Amino acid sequence: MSNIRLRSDEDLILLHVKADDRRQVIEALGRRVEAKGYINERFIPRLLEREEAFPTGIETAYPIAIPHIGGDCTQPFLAVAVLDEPVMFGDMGGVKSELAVRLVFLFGITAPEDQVQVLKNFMAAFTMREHLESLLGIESEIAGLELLETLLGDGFEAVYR
Amino acid sequence: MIKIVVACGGGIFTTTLVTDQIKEILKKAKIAHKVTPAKLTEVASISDADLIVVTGKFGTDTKNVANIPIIAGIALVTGVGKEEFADDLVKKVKELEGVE
Repeated sequence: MSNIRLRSDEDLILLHVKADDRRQVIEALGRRVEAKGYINERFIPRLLEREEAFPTGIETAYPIAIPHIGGDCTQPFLAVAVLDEPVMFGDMGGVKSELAVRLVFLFGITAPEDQVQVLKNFMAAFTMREHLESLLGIESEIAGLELLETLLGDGFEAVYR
Repeated sequence: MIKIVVACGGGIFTTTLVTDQIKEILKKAKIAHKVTPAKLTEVASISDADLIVVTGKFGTDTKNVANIPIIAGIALVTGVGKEEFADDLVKKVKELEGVE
C-alpha cells in the first residue's frame, strides 16, 4: 500500500507563488519534486508538452489545474502551488478556451487503478467552494499539508519534518 | 454487452475517475459493460467500441474512423451535471444496444 500512496511534504506545498505563465508554475513545482528524486529529468518536459496539447484546467468555483502524465515517476506524489495572481491554463472540458488559475496541483500517478480512490477524494474535495477557499487562504506549508491530509484520506501520505 | 472507451489527454487521471463512475452508473442500471481506458490521441482510430467518452478537447460532434459516437464526460470530473450525464449515458447505451 505504501508505494501507491501520493506522498507530499512541506517542500511540495508552494505558497505565494509568483509566475508569469503556466510553464513557470509547472517548472517550479517540477524542480521541487525532482529534488526529492520522485521523477526523472524527462517528466517535466513531457508534462509541459502534454499541457499544451491536452490542457488540464478545470472549471470550478475557483478554477484549478491538475497537470500530470504517466511514466518517468518512481514515487507517487502530489505537489501544490498557490499563486498570488492567476495564470492562464487551457480548459480541459473545452468549454472556455482558458481559465484563470490560482491553484495548481501537480500529480505523480503510477498505478491509476489502485489510486482511483485518492483521485476521487481529490475531485470531490476540490470542486467544493469551501475547500478551495481554505487552500487559497492557507497561511503555512504545514497547514496546507494538513488540509490535504484531512481531505484526501488513506491514499495520501503527508510526511512531516 | 456494451463496450465503452474512456479517453483523456494522458489516459490517467480523468480517465480513471470517469471509468470508475461509468462502471458504477451502468452497474446501477444493470447494463452489462466493458469499459477500457485510452488516450485522446488514440480516439480517432479506435474501432472496437460502441461508445467513446472523452474528457478533454476533442470535438464531440466529430466521429472516429469506425463511426463510433463520442460524448463528453467532463461532468464526471467536475461533478457539475453529473446526474444529467448519468441519465443521458444510460439512455444512449440503451439506444445503442437496441440497434444491435
